[in-house]
Amino acid sequence: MISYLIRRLLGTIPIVLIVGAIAFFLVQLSPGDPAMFYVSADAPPSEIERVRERLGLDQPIATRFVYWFGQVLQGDLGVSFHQNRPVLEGFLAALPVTLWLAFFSLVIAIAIGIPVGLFSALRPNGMVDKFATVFVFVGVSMPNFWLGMLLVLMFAVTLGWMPAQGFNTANPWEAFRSLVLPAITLGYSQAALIARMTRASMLEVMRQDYVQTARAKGLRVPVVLGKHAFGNALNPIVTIIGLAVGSLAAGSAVVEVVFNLPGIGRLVVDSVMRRDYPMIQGILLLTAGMIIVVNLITDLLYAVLDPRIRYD
Amino acid sequence: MTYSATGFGSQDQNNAKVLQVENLETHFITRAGVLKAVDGVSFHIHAGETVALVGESGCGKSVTALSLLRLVPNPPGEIVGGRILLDGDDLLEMSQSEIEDVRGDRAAMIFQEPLTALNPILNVGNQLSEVILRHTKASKREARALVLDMLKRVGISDPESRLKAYPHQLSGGMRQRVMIAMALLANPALLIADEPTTALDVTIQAQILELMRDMRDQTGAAVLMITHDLGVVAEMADRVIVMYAGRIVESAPVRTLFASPAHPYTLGLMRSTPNLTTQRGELSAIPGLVPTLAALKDMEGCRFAPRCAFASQKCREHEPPLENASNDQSVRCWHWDQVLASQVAV
Repeated sequence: MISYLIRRLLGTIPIVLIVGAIAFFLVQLSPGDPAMFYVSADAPPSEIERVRERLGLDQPIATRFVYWFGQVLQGDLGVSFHQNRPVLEGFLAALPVTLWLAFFSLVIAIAIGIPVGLFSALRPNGMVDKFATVFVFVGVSMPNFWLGMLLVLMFAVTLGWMPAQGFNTANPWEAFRSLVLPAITLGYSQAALIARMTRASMLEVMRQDYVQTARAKGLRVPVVLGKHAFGNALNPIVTIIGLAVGSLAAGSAVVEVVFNLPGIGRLVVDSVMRRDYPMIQGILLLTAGMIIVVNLITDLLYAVLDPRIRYD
Repeated sequence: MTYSATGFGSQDQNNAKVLQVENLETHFITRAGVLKAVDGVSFHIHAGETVALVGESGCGKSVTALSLLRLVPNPPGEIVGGRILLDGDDLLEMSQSEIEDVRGDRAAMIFQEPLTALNPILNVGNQLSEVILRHTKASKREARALVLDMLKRVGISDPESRLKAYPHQLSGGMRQRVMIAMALLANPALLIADEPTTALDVTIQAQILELMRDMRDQTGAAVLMITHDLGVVAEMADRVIVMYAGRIVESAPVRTLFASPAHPYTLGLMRSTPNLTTQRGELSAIPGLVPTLAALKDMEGCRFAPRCAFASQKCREHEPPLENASNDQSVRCWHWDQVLASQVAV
């Protein structure tokens, strides 16, 4: 297990390098001149040139890449054009909001998705299953931002139960309230996917011989389902939850903009708007790194859940 | 109920009937219509007796076995009629909770493929002690002791370390021993074994059969053995029930059945099984296939008639009843006397 872990961690190095290169060239090759954002509209060309020099944009792209990458390898992600502070600092400042949002979204997705999937698998095509099918269908079809606006309209504007937007840091309770609607928005589609996977996986497992054996032993239905069936159904569910973490990272960009939350998602959107190259590159690299770690954890969980899987 | 210490005897009719099945009907309700997988099956088993239920794939023998513990998947399967008396209690009248109390306790089952029948993610000790914890008031420690004892009895060496093993870490024979241990833990009055040796190597098969015989003799349980292997039947059974297309077509003590099968289907089964006395090339297959359950719906007359060398017009129009060919042999055939006579002629 330990040697597997070390091999996997070494294996992430080339992935990070490739992601870094893609992040750099995608950003740098996109049209637009960052310098234009940091001068007044009627600035003379010499002024623009001065800013370009200050931002390091006067160098050829290959030179800039080598320089940037060299700095990254030493742990320095550069300085944000816009924030005038190290990229890492800006990233870490925005991270907590996004992590809390992702956490609550995941809790909602799992707490709703798994029970819905389980109960619809108990009686396929039964009443619960039909409602669940609609729930899933709506969940995977509805765009995040639209659901977000509907929720705001309902719970913030009409009922006034929740703040419409922003992140209120006055106290933990207010902060939590700020995240409720965004977390539901982000979690719903993931709940739908988890429900669908749980249902499929349970239906598959319930046909297996060992479930029949468990029933033949006289075990009560909840034990048969919970201990014997669900335990075996978990692997694909864990896979989809692992993937959900990636989707949450992507979805948070939309949801944080809709709800005006100061997290990573909005930071990346703002940085794109301002052509803040170092910031965009840094965020892409760090987010990719986090997703790689989540994937690694997912793979390790397989072995925990199923004794037949051993990584030696 | 008392069991004799030395166990069983095929002729020991003084023993009470542990299992009595009357007119069992299990149907599958599908879009294609109602399929009668088990159609009016009746039989009984005494304590210490082993009854073999034989027939080709699809004849309804496994569905019969599953029906006994009400384990037929529903939907689509449903037991629509009959009585299943276990020591006099009708299992079909029981509530869900009551039948769950019977399963694994008074009646236990051994399945065909021990690798898939054991849960891959739970260790052996967990899966075994579960039976005791479910059906008795024993503590975990007591359950563990009982499990260890049972593992020793079924011939598993080093049982202590096997408790922590997962099914995939055991050999095929070992897994089936674990299955047998699991079935016997609660000391059931009825043991149902659904093709317990089919998935095993031949050498292991013999060991497992011997173990099952030993365990039956020790516990005095009534055993229903589902198989398509006449070798297993000869080895294990006291009485044999032959099923064809959901119906019992012949029932007789094992010696009678092998010496003088009265149903053309049984005769066909014997002749299609190789043994040392058959000349090479003599082996004859029964022509045709078991009719599908869907085809049976519109069928009048004997279900075996389309494949039968003895079939007459009468067979195709009227289904024969199950009648006594002798004291202890019953057969569902209009021409059983001809079938018996044909064997004398040969």
